[in-house]
Amino acid sequence: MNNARYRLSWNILIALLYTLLLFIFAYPETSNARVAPGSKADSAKECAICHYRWVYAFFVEHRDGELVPFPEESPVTLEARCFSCHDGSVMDDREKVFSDRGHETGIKPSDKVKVPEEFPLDEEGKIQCYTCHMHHESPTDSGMVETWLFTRFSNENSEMCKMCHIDKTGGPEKGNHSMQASPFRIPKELIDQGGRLGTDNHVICESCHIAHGGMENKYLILPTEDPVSRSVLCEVCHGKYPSLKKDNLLKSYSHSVDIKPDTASIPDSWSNGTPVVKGTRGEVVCHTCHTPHNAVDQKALLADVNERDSLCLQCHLIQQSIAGTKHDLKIMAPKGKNILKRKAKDTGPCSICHLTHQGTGPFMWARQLEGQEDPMVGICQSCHSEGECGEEVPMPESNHTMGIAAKTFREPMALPLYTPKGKKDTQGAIYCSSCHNAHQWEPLDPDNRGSKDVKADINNSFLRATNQQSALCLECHKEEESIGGTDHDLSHSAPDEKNILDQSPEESGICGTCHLAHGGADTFMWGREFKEGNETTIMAQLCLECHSEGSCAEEKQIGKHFHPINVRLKNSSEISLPLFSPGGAENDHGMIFCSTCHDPHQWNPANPEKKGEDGTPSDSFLRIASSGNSPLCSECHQSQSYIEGTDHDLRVTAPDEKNKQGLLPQESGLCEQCHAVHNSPYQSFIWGKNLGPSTIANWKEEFTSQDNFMTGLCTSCHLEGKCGGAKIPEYGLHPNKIYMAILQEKSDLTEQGQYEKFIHRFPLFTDEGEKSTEGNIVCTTCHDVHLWIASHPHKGIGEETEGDATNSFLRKGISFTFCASCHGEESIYQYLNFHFFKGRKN
Amino acid sequence: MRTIVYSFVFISFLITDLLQAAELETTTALPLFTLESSLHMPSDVAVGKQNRIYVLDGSHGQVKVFNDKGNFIFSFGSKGSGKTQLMNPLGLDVDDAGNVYIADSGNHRIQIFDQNGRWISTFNLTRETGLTPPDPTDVAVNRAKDRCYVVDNDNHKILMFNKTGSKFLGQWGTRGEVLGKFRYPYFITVNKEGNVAIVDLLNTRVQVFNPEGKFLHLVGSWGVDRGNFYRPKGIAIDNNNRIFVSDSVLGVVQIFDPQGNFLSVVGNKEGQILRFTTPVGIYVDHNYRLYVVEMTMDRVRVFKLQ
Repeated sequence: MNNARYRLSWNILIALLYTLLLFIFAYPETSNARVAPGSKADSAKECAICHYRWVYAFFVEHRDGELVPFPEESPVTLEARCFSCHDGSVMDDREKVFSDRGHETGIKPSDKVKVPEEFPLDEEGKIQCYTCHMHHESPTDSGMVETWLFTRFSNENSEMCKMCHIDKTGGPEKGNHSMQASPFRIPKELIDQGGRLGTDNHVICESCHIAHGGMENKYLILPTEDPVSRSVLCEVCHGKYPSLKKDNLLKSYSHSVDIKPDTASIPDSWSNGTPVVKGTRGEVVCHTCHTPHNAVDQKALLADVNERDSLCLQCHLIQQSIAGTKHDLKIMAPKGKNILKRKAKDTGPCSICHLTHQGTGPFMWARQLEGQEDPMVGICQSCHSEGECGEEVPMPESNHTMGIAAKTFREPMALPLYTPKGKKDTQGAIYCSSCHNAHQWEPLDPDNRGSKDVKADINNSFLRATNQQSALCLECHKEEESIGGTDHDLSHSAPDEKNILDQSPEESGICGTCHLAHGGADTFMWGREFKEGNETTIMAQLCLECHSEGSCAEEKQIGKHFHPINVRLKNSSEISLPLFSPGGAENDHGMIFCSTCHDPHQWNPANPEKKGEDGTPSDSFLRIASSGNSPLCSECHQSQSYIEGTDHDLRVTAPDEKNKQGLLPQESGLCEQCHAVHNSPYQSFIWGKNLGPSTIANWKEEFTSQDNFMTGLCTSCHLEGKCGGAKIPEYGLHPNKIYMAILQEKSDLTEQGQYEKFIHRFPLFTDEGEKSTEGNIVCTTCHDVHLWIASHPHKGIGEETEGDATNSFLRKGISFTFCASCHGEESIYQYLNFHFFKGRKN
Repeated sequence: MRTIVYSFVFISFLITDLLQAAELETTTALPLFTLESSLHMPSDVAVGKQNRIYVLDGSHGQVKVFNDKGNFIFSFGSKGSGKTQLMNPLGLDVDDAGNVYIADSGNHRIQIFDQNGRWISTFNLTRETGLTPPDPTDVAVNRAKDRCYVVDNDNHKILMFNKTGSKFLGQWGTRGEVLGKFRYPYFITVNKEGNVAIVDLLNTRVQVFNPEGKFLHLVGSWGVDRGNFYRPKGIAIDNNNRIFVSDSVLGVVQIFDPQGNFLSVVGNKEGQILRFTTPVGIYVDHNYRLYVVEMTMDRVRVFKLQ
């Protein structure tokens, strides 16, 4: 017992001692955690840096930590553990690994993937980081854990990738992208993004894929489905126009990619059930037709078989209506060949004319385009020309203008415009395909394929829309649409008239009565016959075809005398009206023709909807009204427009004076008070009033001449009983002859140059009204009838005004130098005795 | 004899367990609000003039600015390498003037913006390092000494500059485990006296140096108990020079006295440890508000310390 008691006491003592020691050494270690720094790596800690459960408290003591509970999961390579260093504290993989898509973890491998035993999955058979990564391999010489890495096997030439993804190997024979091929150039775009080539610069898995930091759901280095990036993966090596790299001229003629289909309709899945890949907004992308892995077609790696263009036709449903038409070469030209020498009878309906990546021209054209200046026209001419399959319908020499933009069109523009390379572009130009749809014979009935012998008309002819009532033409020619219902709409005014194709207005449509898209004249595609013997320019003939004796508009002729045409303007750059070359082309420095003032498609310039028959200066197909202040005339005759509001504006001084058409000044417009543009009695000045006499009874004979046209102009008004009757010279006019003897004696105008200069300022006129240096002095030598004050070129004040020697329509300089120029010092005496009011003597 | 040994062991374990079971001291932190505003993997936070809260939204290459109520005010910077851009920045600090210093890690430089996000200047670090490009993970302004310190993570050293960065003043540290050496130094802060505290990540400790880089003492050690670290990340010092350290794996924030003795762990009002998900950058302002960046949760939680 004693022994036992002694033993117990001894045990308690030892236990207390131990406890004391433990308290001294152990407690501080756990309470305030002040530890002496290690002098070398703690190997247990080194492992536990990743092997969380190997922390002493967990692994040895098998207990909770004070700060955290005992970890239930096993795990070193949980993603969170990796992230605890890859969050920037050792490596910054926040984006590359932990934000972007990367090789998935936490999932079971699919049936297509065969994971070898060397790549461990977790307890549930799922992929984890450690399936591929192994940090115990290849330790660095530092021996520290954070630099150990990485993959379990060398991934040179993507060998490790191929160990699992065996279905992606084998090259084209297995329907996969070749891994033997080398790109044409080192694909910098890929390398910059982390892509790699194989040891011989050939394509490997990692050329396109990246395990971490890739795009889309295939861990791609660059997107394949994002056309916005303009750097899609396939294009880096293949270019946007595959197969045509060697020919810069032709390389653009490949199937469009990165655009939304227009007339095509991409299905959601191909006929073999393969889902169709589209761009992020439904665009056609390389991947739509091609698939780099598990392709059905081994040559082109297509997603579905393309037997006789069957793949094409799955999208191009509308184009299928070409079958059976005159454009179905299997029927029309079965022996016709494309550039690959494949005959029409052996190909599908598409590839006889189109080749996806080997086209010679726009629309991936599969026929020879050599020698064609404009490929967009050439594609049609490659058949519709002599010796070709469409030679029966050759393209006429004269056609609708092509390669130009549509100036005005209906909104929205229904017809396609194109770039010269065939790309649809709303800012593009008109080509054959703007009006024609080569795949559809009759626009209103796609099922009507026509036949070889069916006659073409405005309802078929592969037009994009029926051209009844010229609806197709008017898609672009919106401004010309206002011709309908006017006198120039021959279906309205001359329904029996026929064009050169012997078509009535009803058959040809409104436009077709005068214009023909194919086979008309070069000028305005004129589709009417020109009258024989008419030798004037074609521009002059256009209107006279109808507006002449015996023609459909004979009641609207311009008469013998009319405003000059076929003449150039000095100030052509200042006017807004169109000028033309004799051939009809609009030309800023061209000449005046009828179409300069008239727009034959629009009756009323102020209101295109307005129609009428009896013209006035406000309509009559004028481009600008000539009523009121005659803005149309002022476009060219700017210096004459100062007559407005002066005493010569009859609206001021003679509002009841009618012109030859019986129009009051208020109705006729400023200019037509005195001038007549059409049907003028006189060609000179296209004078529109009856001439007055050349002399007046009380004028002295030596001061007048008989039959002087120029005097008659003024006495049209300045005559007793006429509107200008109050302003008549009392004794006569200045002698009309120039007496050179007087000039030589009294003036300084002795040299020829000075004289001509003088005469230019003060013009002389013949008795017939022609301006001539050999002419006579007439009223208009001293007077500019359009300008009240020569030194002050302004319009009049709108009230009748009494004049003096400083105004009165006298030409500039006349009051001071003109008289003295001829009469020298004697002019002062002449003035005082004959002109100065108070000193005037009879 | 066997009985003696068994008793020994039994009693010793009993006493040790009793000691270890002693209640863990917590400092109560009452939740105020959470900053989110489309953050993506933010890394650090600091408070500047007008109590504006600057959050480094590193993955977006931006700094997002909030008022003291937690309302988003504006952001500045964008992702890239341009003059005013940021590439995967990790740490930031604010000086007395309110200027924001950003460790622009991906661009190997320090960017300085004013309090309204207007770019002021840049200082590159390439001249201070050898072959390995500098990897600035954090920057701290020493207000007492008018200088700033930059952590060069990949080169395991601390770079010392004048306040504007125009003059390089020196450096210390190499890779290693002994005192004064580092294994991936990460975040840094400076106390009122100008002493510098640096998180020494893979050495699982905090080292404190005087302003010239002379080692003073350690804070914390390896483990999962009080005063231990597994992945120390963020560090902050309050007005009383208490040192706060976050641990992204343990998911806690611990508080130490100025000498490095463990004081408590941040907890809730029930006295339980507050758990954070991947806490990284932390900050304690003069109002004893604690800001904790939870990187993978794309948010910053703000608390009032009791």
